[in-house]
Amino acid sequence: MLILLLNDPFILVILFDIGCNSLKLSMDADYISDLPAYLKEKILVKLPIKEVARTSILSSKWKDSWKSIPSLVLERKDREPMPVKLVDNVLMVHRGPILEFKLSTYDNCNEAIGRWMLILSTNGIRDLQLRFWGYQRCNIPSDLFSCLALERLDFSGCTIDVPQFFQGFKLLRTLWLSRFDLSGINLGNFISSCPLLENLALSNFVQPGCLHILAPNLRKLHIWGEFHDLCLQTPKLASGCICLSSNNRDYQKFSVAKSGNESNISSALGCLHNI
Amino acid sequence: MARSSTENMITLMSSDGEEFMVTEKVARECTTIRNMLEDDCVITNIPLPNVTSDILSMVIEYCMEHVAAAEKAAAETAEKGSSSAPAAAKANKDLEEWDKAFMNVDVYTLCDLILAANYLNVSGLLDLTIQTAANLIKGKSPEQIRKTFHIQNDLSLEEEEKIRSQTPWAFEKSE
Repeated sequence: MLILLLNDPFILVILFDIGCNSLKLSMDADYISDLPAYLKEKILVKLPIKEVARTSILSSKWKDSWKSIPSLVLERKDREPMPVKLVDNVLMVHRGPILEFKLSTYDNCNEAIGRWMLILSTNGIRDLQLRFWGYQRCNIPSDLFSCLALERLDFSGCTIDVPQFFQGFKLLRTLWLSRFDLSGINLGNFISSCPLLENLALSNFVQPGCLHILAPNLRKLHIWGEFHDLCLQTPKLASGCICLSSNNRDYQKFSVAKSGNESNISSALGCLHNI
Repeated sequence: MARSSTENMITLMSSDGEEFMVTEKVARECTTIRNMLEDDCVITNIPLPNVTSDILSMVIEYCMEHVAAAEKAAAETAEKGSSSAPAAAKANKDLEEWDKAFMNVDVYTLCDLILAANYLNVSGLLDLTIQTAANLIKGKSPEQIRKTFHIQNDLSLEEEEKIRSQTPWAFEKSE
């Protein structure tokens, strides 16, 4: 803004021909700190967790910003360890809903997973990814089955004991399980208790007997594991891949039962091959 | 750019009173405006009291570019019967390059664009600006971040030490 005082003291000419940007620049203002909290959170969730936490010392306006991000991604990058203490610390200082939680670690978390799952189950978790790469599988506590808002579940290296009270994940759309043991319920019954399921991937597992998949809304199916028989009741299936990893050739046959048109089956089994 | 005369034009008015005539298709890129048009289809003049003219002209520029790219892709698909993968990949790459050049702005404009994209609900532009802001933070020390965004550090040494001690793992050197 340029203010010209002309000779006549009563004439004041104000020129507004300088753009807003230069006006702001001259003020040297801090814009980003005053963005609404949810927009700052959107920026923070794009960063690795270490950098997210480091923004706490930028200024008083940033001190607590990172503590309420709704998405926590604690993934090992370049073999950097993701220790139990770090996960504990993040969950302890976090406030508000945790809609997305992703953890990938080599560490044994059996002692800690109970308290983590308790926190997640009371904070509205929708997207849960737990990948345990260590030799020992992680025992998933029963609080998982109180997470009724779950829409996506992605577990690797887990032992899951399903309690009797479990009524199903009624909102679950994506289920990915790899290197897992399931007890307390038959795998087929577990799948059919999730009526909205659209995307299912099962890999590195052993299922004695027939794997019966009843999923009225399933569109994508990927199976890679050991099982004797497969029975699909998936009328909306659009694409799929089924790989049998059994060493015994006698087991490598499929029984396919379904109601509805045949074309779905051929597309489901179109990329079928044995290993 | 040639436009068919039958296409509806909408006037968007910025907070400082400047008027921008755009096609309805471009205006509909803003979900906030699309919802207004769906509620009241005869509306032709929309005041946007939260967006200044310099920022609104940039949002419109973004929307026009993305509408044009989508139209071009659709026309090519219609012409050849099916879209050719290499051509589509090149078009995507071109648009990405355009976005990248478009994001060559100062941090004030960037923050204003984030607010405008959020208010007008232009999801592509919001993602782009949020990612650009994140990239400006990524890999930088707190001091470098403060400098980039003109953030005044108002924490005392004691306060800073206390915050550091809450999450010591965040301040360890990883190398």
